[in-house]
Amino acid sequence: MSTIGKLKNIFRPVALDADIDEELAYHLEQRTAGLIAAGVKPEDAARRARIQFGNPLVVRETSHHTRVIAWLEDLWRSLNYGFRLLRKSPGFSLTAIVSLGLAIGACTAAFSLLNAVVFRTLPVAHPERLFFATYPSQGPEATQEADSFSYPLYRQLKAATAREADILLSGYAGERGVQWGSDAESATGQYVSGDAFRVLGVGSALGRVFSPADDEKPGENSVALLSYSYWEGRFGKDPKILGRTFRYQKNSFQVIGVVEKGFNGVEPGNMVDYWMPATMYTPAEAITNPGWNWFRILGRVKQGVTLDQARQRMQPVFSDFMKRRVLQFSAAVPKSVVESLLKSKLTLQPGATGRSGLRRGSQTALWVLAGIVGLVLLIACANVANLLLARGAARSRELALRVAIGAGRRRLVEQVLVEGILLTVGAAMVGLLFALWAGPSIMNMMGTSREQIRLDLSLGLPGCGFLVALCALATLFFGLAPALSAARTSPGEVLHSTDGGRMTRRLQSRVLVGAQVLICTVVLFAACLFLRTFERLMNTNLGFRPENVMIAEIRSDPAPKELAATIALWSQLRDRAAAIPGVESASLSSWALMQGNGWINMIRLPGRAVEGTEVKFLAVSPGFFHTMGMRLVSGRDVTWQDGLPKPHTAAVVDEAFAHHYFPGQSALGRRFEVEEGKDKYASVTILGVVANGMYRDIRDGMSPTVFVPIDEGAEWSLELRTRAGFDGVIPALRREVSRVHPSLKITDVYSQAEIVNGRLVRERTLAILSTFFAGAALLLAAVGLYGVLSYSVVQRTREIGIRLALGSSRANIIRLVVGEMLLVTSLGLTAGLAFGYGLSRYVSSLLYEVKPGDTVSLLAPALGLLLFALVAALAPAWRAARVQPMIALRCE
Amino acid sequence: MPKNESLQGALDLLVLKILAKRGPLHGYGITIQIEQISEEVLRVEEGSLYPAMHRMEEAGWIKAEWVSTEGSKRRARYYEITKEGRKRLEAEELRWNAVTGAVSRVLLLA
Repeated sequence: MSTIGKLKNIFRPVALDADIDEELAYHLEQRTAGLIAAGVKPEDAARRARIQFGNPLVVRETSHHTRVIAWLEDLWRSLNYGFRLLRKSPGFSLTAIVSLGLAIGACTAAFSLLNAVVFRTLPVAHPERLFFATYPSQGPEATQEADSFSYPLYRQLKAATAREADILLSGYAGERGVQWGSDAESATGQYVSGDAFRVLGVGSALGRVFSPADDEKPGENSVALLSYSYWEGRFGKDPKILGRTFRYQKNSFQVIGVVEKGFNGVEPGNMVDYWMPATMYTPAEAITNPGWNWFRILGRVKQGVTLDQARQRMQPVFSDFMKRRVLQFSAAVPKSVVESLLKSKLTLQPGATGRSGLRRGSQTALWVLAGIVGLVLLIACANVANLLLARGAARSRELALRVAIGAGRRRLVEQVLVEGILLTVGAAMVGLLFALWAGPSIMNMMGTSREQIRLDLSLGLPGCGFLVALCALATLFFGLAPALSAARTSPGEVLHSTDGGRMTRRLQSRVLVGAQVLICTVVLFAACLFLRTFERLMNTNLGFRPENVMIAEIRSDPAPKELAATIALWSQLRDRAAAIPGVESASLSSWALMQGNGWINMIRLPGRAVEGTEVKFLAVSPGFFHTMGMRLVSGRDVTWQDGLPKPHTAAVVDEAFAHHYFPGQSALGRRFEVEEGKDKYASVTILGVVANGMYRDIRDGMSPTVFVPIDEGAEWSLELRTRAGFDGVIPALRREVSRVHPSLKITDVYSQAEIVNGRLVRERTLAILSTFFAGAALLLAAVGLYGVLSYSVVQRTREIGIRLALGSSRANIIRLVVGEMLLVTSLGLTAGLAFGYGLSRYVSSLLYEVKPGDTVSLLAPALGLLLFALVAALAPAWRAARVQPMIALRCE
Repeated sequence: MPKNESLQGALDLLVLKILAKRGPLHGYGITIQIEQISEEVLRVEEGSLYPAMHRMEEAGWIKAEWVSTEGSKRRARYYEITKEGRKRLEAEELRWNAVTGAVSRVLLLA
């Protein structure tokens, strides 16, 4: 019989035995008949046949074993038995599978996010030799690592290092809406140099990739490549895509190829849909101006060349370039900035995993999240271990009996492990489903409606490997203690006395519960820190009221040539918009507050040297402060006429500005000068002072800001403060905009609240997720505590009975049970707080106005846990107090 | 079952030879054949015959089939020698002859 036959027999043990029995029975029958024929009396024949044959059971057993794979049959039996056990206590099984499954799923989701953002190697040739160039740059507060370069510098670096490395250029991937025929739609576009795909070693799935020839003459290479996922998702892999054209801004691009599957650019977090040659950048100044740093430079060192060798070749080119650059700077640029630029060293960073803003911004948060869900998994494992231990104890007599009648200890351990594996397999399935849902959900939480994050979260081989390894570890973790305790089963001890092995088991489960409380405290503490941070940020005074403010971005194309005509056009639009029913007031500004844009300019005060000459600017129309709910402290608002005949001659400043430059005096009517070009300054008169408001980001705090009247710009943000909602307002606004002038187009509509919330997205995500998992941890710990206390009460029933019989009061019994709980909880709690406090400095970069040792965050988990522990202890204590001494003593 | 094991080589050989010469037979038939041909000198220990045949079946030397029998309500399991079994039989026969020949020589010449 083949191996397959042996396999089949495992699943039909009864039928197999019947087969053997039938064959033997036939033999006996024939033998009996033969004996009768030979003259033996029929009543003796059957008996003699059986005697001659021997014990048919032994024959059957021996035959059975030769006809199955013995170890596999044992396993199958264990599986069957395990299934039956799990089905017998569905409550336990379900709790274990769901709690383990959610924790495993959350860990897998965290892994898939980390993998997509941090670990995954780019699908390019020789990623280990890839590098990104960076240099230190003087930021507003600290020195940052900059990775943006200008096009002219790229050409020089490329020429200088032709022998050491292949260098390519990659713009920043970003939302660049395109128009296919008449359909305008959003898509992520990126500019790259013509040799980019050749250097990266990425080919085409259709057509061809760019060649250096596609990137030679600025403005004349209207070709584009699509990513495979875009081609698949948007065009259903239509092979006729080659030769089709789309419009981006003013240019029309022809599709010449689709890039290999799997390559979506070098920026995790941004999946590029289409690429354009760098020389097509609009405006064209982007590739001629040495001061426009709009590109990343990356490359691959040639075989046998080290990063440092390539760097040494690039450094002199970089230094020369900077020397010529600073000559163009105005005198107002601080000396320190100039010097740091001159001294700055180029660095080549290993680039196998790409480079991403998302990674920089959210890596720590993702690690923290992974840590939290890992801790929750530990708690879940401890819970299952405890429940298994308790059940093992309840079954200790059964196990002892089985050992006594000859079951091998190996079988018993196998039994316990198989049960654990069954639980884990169930949990893995729950976890897989949860991870497939949770990964994308968390990704969406981290993005906003306006800035979406796109990651390839497919689990793939690494994800599945992680899941399997995690399950194996979890099984080992929660299955080890019960398996060992099953292996120690000694029939004599257990069957004789009722106390055998009980003390170690009770200690084991107490240690487990203490560990659970400890971990739970850490998770609660972290959640408190993030919640408090989020609450602080939410309650920060923004200086304006975002609610009920709608923003419409409007472009005039073609724009009026004269400043007066521009102002007339936009003031007309503002007035019409303000008259829409449901609109309280309307205004214009260069961009919405906190939208992310910034305009910083140098100022000086006539006849005075001042510190801090960089000031934020925003161009606004009359009514801006009123619409945004910013309080005018003194003076007056700007008027349309203030911007004529020259735009930046009068301005409203904020209190931060007034206090910094004119401390202790009124700023009204005073003048300062603003830089207009190299060493050219214009004088500005202060018309009014408004209360401080957030300009770009809450964490920036309030800093000096100047509000100037609107100028000849062609794109403005229109703010509308509405009474109720935006529903009726948007169509009315569209009508009014086209009525004012056909050249005006609405390019985007959103709410100010969306913008503000978008700034808090990381903190909100962390707060929500950590609170959710803290809740789960608390619940699991409470279940664990309850289970262990209930079990210990059951086990000590006799002891409690004796105590009561000897005159102990019921209050004493309650104290006994609650005392046990308090001891375990407070030990775990203390250790947990110490741990949490020690760990908290690693998350300080994620906190805002909350110190790592925050008192509230230390106290809240302690109180919460004690409360939950008391609740968990109530029922067991009550049951202990109601023990009837006579019944308790009689039942043994 | 140490006693059986020592006889196992011979039992395998006898079963294979009978199946090769007499065609398909059931277990009881094989027992009878061995007893008759050896004129009752060799008695098969019936309890060890079936495990041995099942083992040979596992090894692929013989194959089995259920056949309904006339006059009995039971089915009988008929065994048949396979190609592999014939090769095995040849090798076993050679070995057996060599051993018995050697034993005879010792008895004769010692």
